[in-house]
Amino acid sequence: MRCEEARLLVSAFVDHELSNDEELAVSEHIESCSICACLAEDYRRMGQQIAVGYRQAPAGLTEKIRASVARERLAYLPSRSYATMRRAAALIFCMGLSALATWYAIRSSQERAFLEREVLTAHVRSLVQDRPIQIASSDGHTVKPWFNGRIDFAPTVRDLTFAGFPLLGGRVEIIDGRRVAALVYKRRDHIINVFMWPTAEAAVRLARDTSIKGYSVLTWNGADTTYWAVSDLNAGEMRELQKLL
Amino acid sequence: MVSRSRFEELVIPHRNAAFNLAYWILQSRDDAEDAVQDAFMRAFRAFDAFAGNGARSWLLAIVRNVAYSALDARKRSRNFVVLSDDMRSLSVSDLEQMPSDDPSPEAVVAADDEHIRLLNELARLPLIHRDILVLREMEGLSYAEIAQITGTAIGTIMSRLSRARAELRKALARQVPKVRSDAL
Repeated sequence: MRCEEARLLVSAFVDHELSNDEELAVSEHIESCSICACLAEDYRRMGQQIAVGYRQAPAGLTEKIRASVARERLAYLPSRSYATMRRAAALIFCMGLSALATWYAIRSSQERAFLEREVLTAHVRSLVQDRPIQIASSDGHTVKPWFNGRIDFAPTVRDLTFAGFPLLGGRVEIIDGRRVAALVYKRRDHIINVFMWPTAEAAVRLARDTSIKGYSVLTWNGADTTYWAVSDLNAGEMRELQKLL
Repeated sequence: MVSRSRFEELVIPHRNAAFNLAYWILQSRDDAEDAVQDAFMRAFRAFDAFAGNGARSWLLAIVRNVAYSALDARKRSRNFVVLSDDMRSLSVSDLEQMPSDDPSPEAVVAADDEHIRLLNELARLPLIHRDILVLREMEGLSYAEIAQITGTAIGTIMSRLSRARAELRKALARQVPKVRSDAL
């Protein structure tokens, strides 16, 4: 190995960072070259002396580091409190939702109570009169066309004599300020008024069965029609009628 | 969330290495302390992403970056040269802080003279040579570790260390020709 070549490798030789071949070659060269041997010796000694210049961390540094790490941990807190804020927001949202639902339920029940009263009044009024019907017919094909021009929709009219609910006829009623169809069925001696009108959005949540002053009031929704059936008939038989309509 | 105890266990033990490197880059104890604190804070922030081995190299890379930035900031903020306590040449009083393994008093003085000269020359070396010498001779790191910390190739570290040593040796010889003749 040439001296110029070796001289560049002495530093890495001292650090034992050469490949085996290079290390061997430099080692052999150093044995025969006092300049390179001196260089290696100087580098080793310089290394030892540089090591003496090691500066230890000041005594208080560890505590300062811990303090700054603790501050850094605190920097995480906003994200933690952000989570808290989110939980709080969710809670407030739920409370709001609950309040809205309560209001909605009360409002619906008020609305239902109002309609119940209307329907019940119409039913009782029809019984007070001698004839609860304006068009008397057991034939659906007679009753249905009769409604043309009297109300703004065509009600489904079925004679249910085969099931023990003979159709007596129909009339026009005013419920909640609008004209609706009223079909009158009979079961034994009981008169059943079935009021129907096109389904409004709000009607869906009104569907329920109740019993008021001895009258059964059934509410349900057909494809696009809201039905209210009122009678002094028992609820079981009323439901039978509901299934048929 | 970062485990504080794991950080304490893996990273904090390397505070001396961190401080020493920062000191030799910034050459000011106060600045080094600030840089180390900053570096540990950054290390803590990045600790989640840390793979778990080679904590010292990982930390020293952060320290080196922080110290370099601090040096830049210092240069930018000061248009004039400040001779801080650390910028002055080392004196005999500094010896007390430096342990020596040589027991003989005469030898101590002689060796310490040499130490002081050498460390003063080390302090004057270009930064690019100084920090790798510190990592090699004070931390005893391998070329691979130094390459990792400085983000350079191992071959580059090898040639830079060679040049750094040659430069340092030349500076010492120039200052006190006697040293070289003695060595020869």
